[in-house]
Amino acid sequence: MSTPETTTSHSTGPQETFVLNLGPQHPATHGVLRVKLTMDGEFIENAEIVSGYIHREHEKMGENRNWEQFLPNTSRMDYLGAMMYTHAWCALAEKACGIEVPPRAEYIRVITSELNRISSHLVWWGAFLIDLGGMTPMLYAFDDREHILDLLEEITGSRLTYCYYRIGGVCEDVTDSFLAGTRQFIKDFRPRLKTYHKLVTENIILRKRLEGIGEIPAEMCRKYGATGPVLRGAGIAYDVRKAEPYGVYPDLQFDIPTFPEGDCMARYKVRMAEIEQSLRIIEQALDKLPDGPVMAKVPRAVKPPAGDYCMAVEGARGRFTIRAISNGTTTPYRVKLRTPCFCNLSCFEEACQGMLLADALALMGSLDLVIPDLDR
Amino acid sequence: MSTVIDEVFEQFQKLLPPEDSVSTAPDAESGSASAGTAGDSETAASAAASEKAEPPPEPEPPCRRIERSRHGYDLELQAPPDRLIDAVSILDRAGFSLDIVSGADWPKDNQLEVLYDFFHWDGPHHITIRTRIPREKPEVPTISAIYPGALWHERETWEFYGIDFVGHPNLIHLILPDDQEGFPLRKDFKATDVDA
Amino acid sequence: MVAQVKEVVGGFMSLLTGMGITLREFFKPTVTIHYPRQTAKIPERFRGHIQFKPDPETGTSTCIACQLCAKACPSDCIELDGEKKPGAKRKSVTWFHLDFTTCSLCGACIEVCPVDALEYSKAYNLASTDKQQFHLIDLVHQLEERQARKKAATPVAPPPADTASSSAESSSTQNEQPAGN
Repeated sequence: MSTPETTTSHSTGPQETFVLNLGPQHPATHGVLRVKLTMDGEFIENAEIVSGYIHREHEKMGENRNWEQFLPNTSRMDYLGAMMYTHAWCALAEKACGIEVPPRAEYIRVITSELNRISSHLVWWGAFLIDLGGMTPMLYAFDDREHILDLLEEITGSRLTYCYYRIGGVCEDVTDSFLAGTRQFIKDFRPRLKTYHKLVTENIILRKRLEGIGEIPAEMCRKYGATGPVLRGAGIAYDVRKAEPYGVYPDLQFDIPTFPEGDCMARYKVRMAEIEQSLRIIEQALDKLPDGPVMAKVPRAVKPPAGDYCMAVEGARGRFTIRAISNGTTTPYRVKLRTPCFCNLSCFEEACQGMLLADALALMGSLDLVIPDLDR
Repeated sequence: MSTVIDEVFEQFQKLLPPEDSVSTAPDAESGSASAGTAGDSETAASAAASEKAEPPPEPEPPCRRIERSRHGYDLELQAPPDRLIDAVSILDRAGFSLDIVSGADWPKDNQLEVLYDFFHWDGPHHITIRTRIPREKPEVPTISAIYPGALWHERETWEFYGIDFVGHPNLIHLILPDDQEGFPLRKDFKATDVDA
Repeated sequence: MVAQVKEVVGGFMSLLTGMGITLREFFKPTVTIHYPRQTAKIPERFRGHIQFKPDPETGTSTCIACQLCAKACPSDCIELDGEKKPGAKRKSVTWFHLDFTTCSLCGACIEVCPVDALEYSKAYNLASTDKQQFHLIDLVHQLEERQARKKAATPVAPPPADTASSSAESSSTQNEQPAGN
């Protein structure tokens, strides 16, 4: 039982702790994130996040380029949910300049954003289950995600860091084969989702790993500003698409899935239910898709009047806010990017205290981290 | 308009009555009853008003409503640093969640600004509190005792703007490396400063 | 006790269901593409690095060296210059340098072009051990090479290999020349 120890280490105190470095190169951190864990045996006593390994200073870049030129930057923060972030920037500039976006463009934005949300959740699903030790589901998820990427590639030309939206609309109209392909995808994907539930959600090992683990109560979410599936997994029906509606989301019917438990399983279920809701939104948007132009008349140089502007969208991970200050020129005076990963992860330090290391990794996976989104 | 915003507006008016200009610290709760109507009339004018166009800050009411359809938020409070904690406590009691703590640099006025954004779960409520501080002595109290989520935001604002959050328990680098010199988001920062 | 038994049986069944699904998938056709032997279909709008559209009559570029693309580029990766040839109404491009290492494929240059001289290439398998290959792609030179290859009417190589080599060749030959005008 007792291992031979030096007397000095015993004399430091009744409890021996040691520091464990998780990362920066660790598969469970989904990128270059380092966590300094003070461990008491298998239990975490204290955790300290060390981040910034892929910081690129997007905010300073925003102060050095035009309003239009910042667009490609927005797709490189949350690279799994690039569409929504680009939407935020476009909507901010449109709101500030009073540009009316054609309805067809708004519907196309909804369709592509929701497809992107599904693909993001699929990556999370696959990667999260790898964290928990299940290799196979990732292959299923990437198979389906590939269909989405093919669809989006067909109209945007890129597979991950899309730069498809423009201030005033979208850069090119959708093709008929894209619309048909999306309908086909929804038809094919619904039974696949059922398979997912049978394969994974009901699996006893998964349930034992997630149920009651890593609780983040609603009050903690409020204090830390955690949003997205983390907040909805704590029983709060908060979704920016409903709370601060933008685009054509008010015209579309969808529910906000919530689960009150606040544990990892609740967050898992929220994301799976969100995929279903996204499918519902896409179906409606496809039915309602109006004809017409996809680009509004935009002044030659986007020059919002001086003042402060805020725009929040529901990214795949939660509320993404852009706060921009314009001084009336073609270049923003200040761009602040509030990313959901930053706020969601900031409560990890408090939430993981006293947890087993393996459970903390499940908690971290359930936050759905994208490190470039955290570091910006 | 929504009731939450109205409630907070009332309380802000009590905290910082509109007749006091921003620079002088308010001392007593004077004229809180008539405050509501005075603030409402400012709504339309507030949309186009800008801080940096004219260097001497015009005396505007510290608390004013903002046109949401244009600017994306509802209420703005210009609070002196010593009233910040009170203002944030009002929002905490009203059930607001922390959105952003960020900074801005105004070298023309020789000032730095800290911006606090809050959102509400119940609907489109977004409130901004702004604090201007001199560049020579950029100090504001930390709000991390009320909103622990501000711990990270304040660390970030500190490393990018050099704003000292008094009372912050752990004001160390978060995103930038430990040997970072200078404050990158200040307007006078040059990237070559670091390389040289 | 009953609950425990239920949980054990239910848990065991859930594992069996999962295994059943995996077994069914095992007999389904593969979805992967065996890359070097098979290639995926590249969609029409695929965004590779930019290249010149050849003028259908002359086979040269229609670029008028107006510098709009260089100004629109968010990452300053375009440099070009042109000259007015005797007898011509407008300038024509003499060299056009694309620094593909910093390009973010946003398409601003293509959209801003007044004469529609630029397009995306379909080159997707660009790979090199040398950064210089992408640091400086001369589009004028690249177009000439493409046209020359077309003229020679050699049997067409498979598309990925073709496009990749063209850009790599053009850039490597360009590197030997001075970059200035």
